Amino acid sequence: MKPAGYCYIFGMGMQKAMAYRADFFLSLASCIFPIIMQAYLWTALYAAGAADTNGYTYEQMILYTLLAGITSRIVATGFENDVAQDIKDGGLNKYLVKPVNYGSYCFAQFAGSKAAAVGFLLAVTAAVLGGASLLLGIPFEPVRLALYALSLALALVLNFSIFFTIALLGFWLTEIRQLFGTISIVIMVISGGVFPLDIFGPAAAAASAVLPFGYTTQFCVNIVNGQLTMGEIGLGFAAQLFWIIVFTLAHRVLWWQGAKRYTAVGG
Amino acid sequence: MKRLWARVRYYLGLLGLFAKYSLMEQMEYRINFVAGIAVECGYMLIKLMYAVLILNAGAEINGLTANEMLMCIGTYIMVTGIYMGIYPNFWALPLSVRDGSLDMLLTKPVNSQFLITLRKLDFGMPIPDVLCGLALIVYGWQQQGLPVTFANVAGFVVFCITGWFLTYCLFLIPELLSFWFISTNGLQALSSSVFDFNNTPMNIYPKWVQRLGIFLLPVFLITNFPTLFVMGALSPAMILWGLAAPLLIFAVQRFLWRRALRRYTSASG
Amino acid sequence: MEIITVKDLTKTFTYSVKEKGLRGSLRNLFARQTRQKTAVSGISFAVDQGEAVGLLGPNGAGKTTTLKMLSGILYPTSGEVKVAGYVPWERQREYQRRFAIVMGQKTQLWPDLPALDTFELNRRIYQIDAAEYQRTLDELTSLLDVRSLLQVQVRRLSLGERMKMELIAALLHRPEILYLDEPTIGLDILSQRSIREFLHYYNQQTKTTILLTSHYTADIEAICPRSIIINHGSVVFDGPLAEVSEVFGHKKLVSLKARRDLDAGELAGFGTVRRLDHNTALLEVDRDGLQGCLQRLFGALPVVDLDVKDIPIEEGIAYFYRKAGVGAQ
Repeated sequence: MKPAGYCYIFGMGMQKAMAYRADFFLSLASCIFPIIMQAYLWTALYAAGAADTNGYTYEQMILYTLLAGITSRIVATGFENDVAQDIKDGGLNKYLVKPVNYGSYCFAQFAGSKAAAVGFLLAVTAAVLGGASLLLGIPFEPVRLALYALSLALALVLNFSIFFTIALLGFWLTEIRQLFGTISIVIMVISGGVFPLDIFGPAAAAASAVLPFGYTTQFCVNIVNGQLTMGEIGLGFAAQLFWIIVFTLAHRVLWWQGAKRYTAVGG
Repeated sequence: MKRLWARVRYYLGLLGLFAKYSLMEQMEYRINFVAGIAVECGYMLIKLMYAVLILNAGAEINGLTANEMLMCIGTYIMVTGIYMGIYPNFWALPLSVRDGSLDMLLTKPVNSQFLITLRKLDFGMPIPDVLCGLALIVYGWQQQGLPVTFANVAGFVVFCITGWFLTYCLFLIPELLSFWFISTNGLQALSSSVFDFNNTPMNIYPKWVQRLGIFLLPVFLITNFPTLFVMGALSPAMILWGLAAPLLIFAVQRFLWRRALRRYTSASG
Repeated sequence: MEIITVKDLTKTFTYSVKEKGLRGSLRNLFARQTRQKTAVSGISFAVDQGEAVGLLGPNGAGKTTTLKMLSGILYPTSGEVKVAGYVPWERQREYQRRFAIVMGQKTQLWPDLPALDTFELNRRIYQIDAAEYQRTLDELTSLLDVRSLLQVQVRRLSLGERMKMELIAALLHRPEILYLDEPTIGLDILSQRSIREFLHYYNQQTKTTILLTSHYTADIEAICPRSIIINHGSVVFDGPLAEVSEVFGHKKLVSLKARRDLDAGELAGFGTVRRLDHNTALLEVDRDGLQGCLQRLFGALPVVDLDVKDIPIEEGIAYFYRKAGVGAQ
């Protein structure tokens, strides 16, 4: 299919996201509560005085919570349900007979469905950063902001690849859709979407550096809040690219195996 | 009285049959079964991360010791774990509303809510949560040196049951809205994010949040009341509220259920 | 005795509409438009106990919606229904024990378990006495010839076998009223025929009232002495299906084959020419003048073969399907 076709799918995704307006507003609203909860948690823990916070000051922790809450919303997926549904009820057939790459199709639609929300959330991020620099006097370097934006774009692609790979497990797990709710919460947390994982000690920090998940959220946030040096940021980008390639290969293989199995069983 | 007993036996008998059939089905799909347990283990570890943070913070926060908070977290993990045992029904409800597969269930001479929300039972997912939750409760209880009397254990169990019942009602309500809206993803995200306040004991939060979570949307009853009862920290009025609130929410939920069925449009009609 | 009474039954669905394109989406985000669709508009009919009545109508005519209201799945927008003295959508247990519904597109069987397990569940739900249950089950399984399949997982059964199991599951509690929505849809000819024969036999033997919708005229002809045609949500025909083509007056069709090619001009005198293809033709002829017409035909043309037929029921049905609903809107 030509790029124009994918643009069209992008537009379709955008329209689909807006068709469910209550969903649209509510899921934006739903990122507020965890942030409130985290803020109170940290207030209480810092007040208790013994929080082992691995070098985060109270302000930095709150800022992390805010930015991570928003960032994890920006990269959040949801298309995995549609993919698993297509696999389960035979909807995949219509893609198998068309000259379209299913992965690209899903990505175009995913990107389209995110467009409006991402625009809105970026505005919120700007407000948070502006507020933080005014209230807390934390300066944000323009370079870091630009790198943050770039890392977000890659994080979106990476998170898409991760969830697309998981969704393709639906070829083997008949009721994987039931698990998506929990899977996405678990992945959000181990991506650093709730708290920075390095507070759980060096082992957790090392694990989050080695695993792909942190590169969808924690890495992006740590670019803006100055936790990472430029060298570390460079490495992080490399890791993002590396994991994108790994997961793209992984879902290629799964797709190939799964589609073969799918057509063999007859859908 | 005799008729009531007959009804209870009737519904328990059906529940037993559902359990048997669900188990037979799950044995058909062993990979699903194992995957469910694995994913649930991950979720449990996430909930434990909060316990780690709180333990690291020190001995006492706003009047609760670390051990008591462990008990609270353990209760939350256990109760929501048991809820996972009926989760497949809740998960499927919006889909069934959309594709009209409730039709046949609605024509049966049994309580429709019973049939629709308890028909599929999952035996895998609750395992990790119940084990881990129980371990935390027992550990916290012992470390704290709380007396193990019949009244304490019975009270704890009763509040766990009412907590489970509240969980059932409070998670059913957003699903019911699928009768009005085609997609309830946003609403589910919202309600589960409100539920996440239970990830930590309520003493972490300021008084106004606690009041909201006790009286307006009684989610805090689930995590905190069993432990507070054992600690003797619940006033008689609170104990009464702890027992009344689930009934109140149940009444609201039943009202919504009836309205919802009136709205049912049975797709492909 | 009247068992089903339907009066001015109406069902309206509300749905939202979206303008085309992204601009429409954006506008829709803030202000949503809704429209109403009337699926059933003020239909009235009555069914006697023991009758087997067919409901016909084009797609979207409101047949299924009507059945769903009769079985209490849907609440009506307005109108009255009494079935065996009950208002269906009040969903009283006593009523629910007295009817059953089978829908070709929906299932009540647990797909991963043998059908026998669903039957056992129904036995418990309907509180059927064990001995009675066994007797009914034996009878139904032998009538439908599925005894050997009781232990087979439902998803491994063929479509026809599955439908037979659905019927058994529905009839175990010996309902007085049986609603059937497209019970033979998608089945092969043999399964269709055996289900038809079974339903006809069952209706005759047990005097169970049957209300059936189907797109297959053969279903209706085999099972239902009486048919109701619904179009645009209201009743346009009520009577034996065989009489449906009488809207065309008392006409017959004459198909003939001649030794040479025919032309329209020489046929026009005998009746309306419906089809003409070289040496074969199809004529529509008044039944009263049939005998004379045939004699004249044999006299005037080199006829090789000739056949007289009724106007097919499908044509009568099609006529009613096209006809705008009487009293609709």
